[in-house]
Amino acid sequence: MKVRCDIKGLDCANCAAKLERIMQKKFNGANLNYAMGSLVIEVDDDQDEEEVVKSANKIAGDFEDGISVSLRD
Amino acid sequence: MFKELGASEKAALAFATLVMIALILYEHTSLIQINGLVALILCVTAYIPVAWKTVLSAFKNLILNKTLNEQFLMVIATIGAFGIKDYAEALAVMIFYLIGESFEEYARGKAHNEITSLVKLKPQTVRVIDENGKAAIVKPRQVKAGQIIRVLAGEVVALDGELISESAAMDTSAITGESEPRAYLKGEEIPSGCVNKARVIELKVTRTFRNSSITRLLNLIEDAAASKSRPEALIRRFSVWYTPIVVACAVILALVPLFVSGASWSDWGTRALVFLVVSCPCALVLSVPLSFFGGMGAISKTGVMIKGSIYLENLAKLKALAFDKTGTITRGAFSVTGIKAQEGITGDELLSRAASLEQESSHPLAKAVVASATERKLKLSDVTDVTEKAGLGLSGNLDGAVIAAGRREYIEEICRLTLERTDSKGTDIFVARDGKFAGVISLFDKPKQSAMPAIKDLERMGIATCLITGDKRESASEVARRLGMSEALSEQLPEDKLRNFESFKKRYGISGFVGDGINDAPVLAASDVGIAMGQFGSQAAVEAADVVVMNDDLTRIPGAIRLARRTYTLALENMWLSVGIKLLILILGALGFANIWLAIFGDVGVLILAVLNAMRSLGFVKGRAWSQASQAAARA
Repeated sequence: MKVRCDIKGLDCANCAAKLERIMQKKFNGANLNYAMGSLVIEVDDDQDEEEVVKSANKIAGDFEDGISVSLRD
Repeated sequence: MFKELGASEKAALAFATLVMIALILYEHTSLIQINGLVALILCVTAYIPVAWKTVLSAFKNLILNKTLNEQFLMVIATIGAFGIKDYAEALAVMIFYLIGESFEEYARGKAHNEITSLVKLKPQTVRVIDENGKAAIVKPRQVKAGQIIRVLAGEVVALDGELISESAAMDTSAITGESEPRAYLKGEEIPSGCVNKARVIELKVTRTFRNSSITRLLNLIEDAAASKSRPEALIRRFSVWYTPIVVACAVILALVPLFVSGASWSDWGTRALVFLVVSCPCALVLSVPLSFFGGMGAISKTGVMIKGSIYLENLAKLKALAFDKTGTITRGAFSVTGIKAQEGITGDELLSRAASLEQESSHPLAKAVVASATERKLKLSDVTDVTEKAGLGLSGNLDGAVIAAGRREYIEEICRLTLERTDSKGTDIFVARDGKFAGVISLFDKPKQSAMPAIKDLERMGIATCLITGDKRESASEVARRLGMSEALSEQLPEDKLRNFESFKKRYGISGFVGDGINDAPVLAASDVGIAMGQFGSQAAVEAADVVVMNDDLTRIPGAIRLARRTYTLALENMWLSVGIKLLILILGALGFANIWLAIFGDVGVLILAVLNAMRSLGFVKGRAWSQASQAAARA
């Protein structure tokens, strides 16, 4: 299952690449598109979207201050 | 450009810039005469307002997450510059670091808005009509399938839906690149993302927002980033190692005076600082993917979706392209091109009998025979006792006689004779009456209008074209000859197709395959670029292929390849520009020839140059002008 999120507060493309690598380790897969401000997280089908976004937010916050992840409308 | 900078930040930046200029004059000219201590105080006063956020966040990150980030390296660089009394340089490093950052933000926003007109077409609200005819405005994702929505003139259709109004004229250009408005009739499904050009229409929603065409397409673009091109993959690996290595070198350079007597701290300090300042691979990490991304966005404006930059790269390097015949090169609609009746029966009689019988079949060939008879206003009669032999033909009773029509083998068996091999270019239907051979009807599947200019264009671009089809040799080579294709592989069973495509790939190098996305899944998967011709909205096509042409226009393929080549060249340019300048500055820096100013140029200057260059790809296709101009060019 893919959870599609918006991501805000990234400083630069290189930080985005770093954060993507961290996300990729934490979930089944992750794809951060700096230009589009989007983060697509790959998780097992039985996972709860809200929970996934919450933990992604935590990872992003730990990585650097002021980065927020929110579920796409 | 500094959109996300607040007023106070701008003021701090402006003040720091002024101080920096004053300090340059102080250090290098005699225009400004101040005490060294005054200079330091002035510098610190300017430094604190611009840098405090960066410093704070750098240390927070160091303490909380125990990692060194770019910000920290920049802070170290500025402190180092203070240490060797390069005050102007200390300010400059911080000022340009912030400018670079806000520029990245600007580029990101620009890309986000321009990359695809699709994003703009994602509607924020929908007008839902309830049973009483009352309209309510809701979010697209709250609408359920089966609800009625109203779309005013000029509005975007938010969800796929069946047209309830009598007719509609829709602008599909954002999705198909087609400039002519398309007409829809009551009962037809209108895909989301179209713009209503005329009267108010109402639709019955057929798919929820999550599954609607526009969302699927946007997801496609988003996921495209996951399959990365070789330059992007290279950069990723490079950037992981680049910063640690450069920082390690900086530390070594800074420590040289400890071990080498006579080496000056300020000289080697400058060398180390040069390394620190160019330690971020940002120019590279941003500009190369941005080039690809912009190129994909530009190509999407022509109605061609690319599902990953690796496919854009393969398109740019394409050596050969194989085409499936039916439905791809040809329309898949047969028309009668010749009738050869035996003695004692006229051509029209033969056609009318065959058509009467073929009314009972749903085979495309049968339909073509019936259509042709109707066109000639021939009378069709009812046929009784129809039996069909799958894949061979059918027979039935017509006015007291047994009529049979079908493949050669079928009629040969019924008539107990061997028929001469015909030289017809198309597909033949043999007809027999009461066990006697009565004649042959030849049908031909005409190539699409766009096939000829597309093939010509591809061959001119140095891409070999090949036809791969299950059809018999005569009709395949006829089509290939007419269109001027390099090769034709005929009478191919599905497994032959795959095997022959593999050998085709070996001979030519990077090869693509164009199919309709339904029958050719194995070949599409085996190809370096699988291109599907699919009317917009066909899920099968969108899923099976790497590249989807949103309408049936084959000339979009050479057009997309041309844009892919430009994009790829641009991306490589950016890669070599960034890597080249950085390496040059590192070498000069290590040898002591580069100063901090040059390093700042290597960091922020290169970032801005590379990103501006990358953003050119966003403008490769301007609005709708492309499709008309390029089609005219292709036909000329």
